This record gives sequence, structure tokens and C-alpha cells, in this order.
Amino acid sequence: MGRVSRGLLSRALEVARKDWRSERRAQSGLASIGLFALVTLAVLSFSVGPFGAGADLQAALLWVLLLFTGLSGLARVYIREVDSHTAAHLKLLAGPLEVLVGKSLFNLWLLVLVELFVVPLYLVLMAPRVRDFRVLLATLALADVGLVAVSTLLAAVVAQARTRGALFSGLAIPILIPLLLAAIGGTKAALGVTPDARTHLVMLASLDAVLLGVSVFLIEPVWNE
Amino acid sequence: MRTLLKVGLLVWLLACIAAGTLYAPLARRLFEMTRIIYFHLPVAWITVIAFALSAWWSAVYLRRRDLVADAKAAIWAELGLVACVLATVTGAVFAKGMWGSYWNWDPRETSIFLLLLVYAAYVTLRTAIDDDERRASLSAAYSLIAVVTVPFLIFVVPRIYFSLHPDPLINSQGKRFMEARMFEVVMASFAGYLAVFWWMYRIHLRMALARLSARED
Repeated sequence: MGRVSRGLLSRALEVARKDWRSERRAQSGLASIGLFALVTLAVLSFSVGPFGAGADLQAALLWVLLLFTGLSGLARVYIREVDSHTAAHLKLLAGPLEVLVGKSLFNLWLLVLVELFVVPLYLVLMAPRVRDFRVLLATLALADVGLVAVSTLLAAVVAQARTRGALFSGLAIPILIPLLLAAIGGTKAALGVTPDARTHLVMLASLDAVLLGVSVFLIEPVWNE
Repeated sequence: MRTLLKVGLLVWLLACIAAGTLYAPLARRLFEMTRIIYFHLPVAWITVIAFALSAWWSAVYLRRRDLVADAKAAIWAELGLVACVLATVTGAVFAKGMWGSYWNWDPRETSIFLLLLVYAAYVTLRTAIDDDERRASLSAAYSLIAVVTVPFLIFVVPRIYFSLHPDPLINSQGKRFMEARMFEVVMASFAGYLAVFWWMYRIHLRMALARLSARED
């Protein structure tokens, strides 16, 4: 059993490394996500400003920004394989679960990189008063896991459809809303709007567990189609 | 016999409307808006039942790879969407009467609206894939990932966030806070509208089976 999990993890890491190499080679991907985040943040900051929004609105705006920035980049993992005709080759080299775990790890890494850029910039430009950084970090970490679980599975779905970009957001956002509500709740708690961070963090953790479980269960019929 | 059943159903529904107006009392503080409950509650329940059945047939498709199961999943999703639109519209009318505006982003309103979005996305996904088997697999997967969020939307979100929505039947205390005659009319209406949706389901299923047999020929 241990050997099987080690084999799965090492092949998954290999898939993640391969995606990271292609991302660095292409260069345009990460740069365009960063640019999208920067432009959106500039629009938010320009239209609302640091004093125009209360902590309630600031928590919501942070997650709207992260959601749309994340969705602009996370769908590409499977679409790239289909467009470059490497999907069949990848299916021979690794099983659906290994590919899913690898691509999820890559997407998580991409999201963390985006957040390392976006969140500090948001704190500077929108100037929310963070009362508890630990709650903010826990909210970011837990929400990222759910966001990546849904996005990666749905990326495999839309990669095989005729329309992709708009369809991906249309499919992902309704499913991500409960996660987004909990993430906004956790961020409000970090900003001191609500005292109860625990309820939101527990909801995030349970959504993560459910969404990860469903992704693992469903990837085989989706990827083998 | 079938005509008799159809006429019987029409009489039953007319009797339910009459009972909602003449037999059941008005609820405290809801006044005349009480009447909408006899339509809104049944269609809201049918929404959840239809989406649960769609998820069930999606799981059956993934297990058996049978296109009839996929057709049943698609039909229940579409009928669920119709019920969901009706529940949303009647809910908005109720909100206008009780709280002064059609839409307040109350947790219940948010939940039903998100269900509407999820299954509208399901129907859109089905139109974006040409191959029958691929469409069946991918939409079944989407239906199953969508359905796991439903308990969070229906049961968890309204418990965490403050809601003005009355919850006389589905509540955290597990008790019924509804006058007995009102409850009788709600259940009778529910049975009537469920029969209407079942009838629509049978018609759609016959059409889907005809399409599938034409495809095989």
C-alpha cells in the first residue's frame, strides 16, 4: 500500500514538474495571469479606493479578485494537453488519478504564486485592517484546496467540450459559491467583522474533503472519455 | 383510463387551490401571502427531488454506461430546472409581499438561485459536446460534483447566515411549526404537482427513447 502511494506520488510529481517546465518555457501563461490580477486590482482600487469600502466589502472583493484570477489560469492544465495532442501520450504514461494529483499540485502551486503577488498588493492598495493574520492564512490555504479540486476536475471536463473559456467559468462558479461564501466569512473574521472564524474554517475544511473525494472518484470516467 | 387520470389530476389540483383559499387558515404575520406557500413549497421540494434523481441516474450511467440512464438524468435535470424557476419566481413574489423587495440575497434565495445556475450550467455543458457517450460521461460527472454542494446550500448555509425565510417544516429543531389544515393542503398540493412532473417526465422519456432507437437504426 505504501509502495503504491509512493509510486502514485512520484508519478504525480513528475506530471506537476512537466507542467511547470512547459509553463516556464511558454512564459506567457503566468505573466498573463499576473497581469490580469494587476489590472483587476487596479480597477478595484481605482473605483473603490482604500477608504471607500468597509471591511465587509473588502473581504468580498479580495475573493472575487482571487476567484477570477484563479479561474483565468487554472483551466489550462488539461486544455493544453488536448490542444497540443499530448493527452493520449500522457494517458499511456500515467493513470487518471496520478494525472489529476499532478495537475492539482501544479494548479495549487500556480495559485499560491498568484496569491503571493496579489494578496500583499491588495493589502497595500485596499488597506484593510487585518486583525488576525493566522485566520487569513488558514482561510487562504483551505479555500485554495477546494478551488483547485473543483477547477482541475472541471478543466478535464471542458477540455473535451467545443466551447471552453466561458463554459469553464459557467461550470465552476456555481459550484464554488459555497466555498466562496465560507472564504469570505473567514476573511471577515480575520478583518474583525465577525468574531466566529471557526464555523467558516470548518465549513471550508468539510467542503475541501467532499470536493477532493468527489474529484478522485470522478476523474477516471472524465479522463478516459 | 389515462384520460380519467388526467381529468382526476386536474380536479385534484383545482381542489388544492380551493382548499388553499377556503379551507386552510391564514398564517400569523403572513396574511394573504400564505396562499403562495401551497405552490412555492411543493415546487421547491420537487426541485430538490428532481436534482437528486438526476444525480442518481448520472451515477447509474457511470456504472452501467447505459444511454437510457443518461436520458433520465438529463430529463430530471431539465424538469428540476423548470421547478427551480417556479420556486425562485414564487419566492421572489413572497419576498416582495413580506419584506418589500423581490430579491434580498437571503440565504434561502441565494441557495435556490445557485441551484438554478448549477443546473443551467449542466444543460449548457450538454449542448457543448457532440458525441453522445462523451456528453453522457462528462455531464454525469458534472451532475455528481454539483450535487455534493446541494446539502451545503440547502442545509448548512441557511443555518450559518441569518435568514428571514420562515422554516416551518425543514428546520434545525426537526419540528413542524405549521397549522394542521395548512400542512394537509401543502402535502395534497405536493402530491398533485409531483404527479404533474411525473407525467411530464414520462412524456420526455418516451421522446428520448424514440430518439435513442432512431439512432440505433
